[in-house]
Amino acid sequence: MAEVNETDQTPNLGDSTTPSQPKPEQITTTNVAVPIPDVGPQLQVVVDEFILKNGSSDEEVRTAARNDLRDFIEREEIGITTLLVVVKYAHEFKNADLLDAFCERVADLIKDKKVVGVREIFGIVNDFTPEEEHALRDEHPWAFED
Amino acid sequence: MTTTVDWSELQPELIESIAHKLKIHKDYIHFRSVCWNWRKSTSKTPKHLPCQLPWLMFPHSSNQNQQSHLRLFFSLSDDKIYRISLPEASTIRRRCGSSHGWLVYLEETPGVFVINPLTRVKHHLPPLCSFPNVVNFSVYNVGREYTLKTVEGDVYYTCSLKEMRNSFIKKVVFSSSPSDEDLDYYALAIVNQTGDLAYCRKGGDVWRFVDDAQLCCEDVVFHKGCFYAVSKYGTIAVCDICGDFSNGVPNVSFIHTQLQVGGDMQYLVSLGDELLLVTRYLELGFHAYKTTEFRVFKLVLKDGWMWKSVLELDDWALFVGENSSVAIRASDFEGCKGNKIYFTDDYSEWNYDGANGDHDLGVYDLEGGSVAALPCYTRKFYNGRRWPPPIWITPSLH
Repeated sequence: MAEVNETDQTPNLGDSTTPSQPKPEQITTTNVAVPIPDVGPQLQVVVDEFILKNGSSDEEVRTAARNDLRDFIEREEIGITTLLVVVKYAHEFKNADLLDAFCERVADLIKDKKVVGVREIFGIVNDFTPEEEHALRDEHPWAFED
Repeated sequence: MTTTVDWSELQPELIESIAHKLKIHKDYIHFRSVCWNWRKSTSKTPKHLPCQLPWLMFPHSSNQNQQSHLRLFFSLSDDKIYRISLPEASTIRRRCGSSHGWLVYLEETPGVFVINPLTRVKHHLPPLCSFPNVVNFSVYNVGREYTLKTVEGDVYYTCSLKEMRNSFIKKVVFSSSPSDEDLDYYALAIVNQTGDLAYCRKGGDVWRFVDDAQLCCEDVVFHKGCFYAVSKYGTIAVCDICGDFSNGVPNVSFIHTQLQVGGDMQYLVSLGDELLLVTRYLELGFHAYKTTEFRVFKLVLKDGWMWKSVLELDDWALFVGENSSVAIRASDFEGCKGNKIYFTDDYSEWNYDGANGDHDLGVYDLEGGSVAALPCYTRKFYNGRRWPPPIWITPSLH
């Protein structure tokens, strides 16, 4: 049975552990490691380190941790496949700060794009009927001018 | 963990978390148009969006017949003009406020209404005839429909529908968006003729005067829970109107500063916890005028209250004019530069009397002390003074 690292000791280096059915309501958000399957070990290391530092009682350490994570995400230009996995896990493990950082990245990919562009990036199929689409554009026609 | 799902099938809270990271209204509108799940999981009237970079609402276009219900708004960040249907903003109406994304309109009836151009939602404020100094209103007294009394209460005079519409109210400012269900909004109006400040509350029937605040009628701003009004010389009246007051009279206190002398118009701007005074200098010519300078001060307490000179605003940009002043962090928005004052024509007496020249609007650079034209007002766009003067509006989705 795989173990979940529940202490804030040495981060779990690259071991892809599968979580043993944690009950989200009982877990505090900051200190619990969030093992993420299917992403590279580098990202797991960064996430683990973030969680470790974010659990510190020192405000400066926490701020630095958040900035480091943001810098990493921007530098590596984390793509949508990885993002999808990470945000879901951060959400499931109720780690608000981790979720925050990655949602920011998702939002960056949405900024300044047309609707079709967003659908393309995220691989989303348009499930509005033409009438529905027309109606929703009519709410704010100015926002859909090309 | 569940099997992989795609982006359109995320849980509603997760979708909402992502949407909350969008800071521009256009991006948020696009987000809600991507697919059903994204649309259902997000609110039509989001409250998390920060104050948007103001749009400039243009005067009516010259060819009145063609699509005259469309009003033009220039966006600094997108560098384009948006056309929005707003038949309520017709030529017989006069606009006397732009606050929290809402425009206040007067017309040739006593009615006062506010409208959000983006949502077309409309609310009514108490009518003009409910002002304390309006003693009578009758449509049968043609040309003298309103009867008003002076401050002392001894002299009565009359005003026509047009006169009341044009010159009774200088500016209306709100405490919050009229459509915010969580907050009861308050409106404060500067009465032009007497310099009185009048207030009303959401759902109220009448306007009431703020006692003893007649001198502070240059400008009003909502700041730290109160309405702050300023006199020509820098005296502040702090009107604590929101909330319940025990004896039915709101609390008003005064801040007497060292006399501010000089300048033609004063504006108050709320910048976080700081209150700024922005003084506008006009060069008055023969039936024409233009702004040449702005000076900025902030209210400080040091051996008494005083307005301390502010030489630079760093990343902040101020937007002043007939609108409720706003301070915007330039780095939050494309197309906005810090340490500048974006201003529109506000010399209202002259706007009615048909002054010459073009509208007095532009961007003032605090560093160089120079005035530049706004990006949308290129040389060929200038075609004199058109009605109504342009105004800043902070577009809001609620």
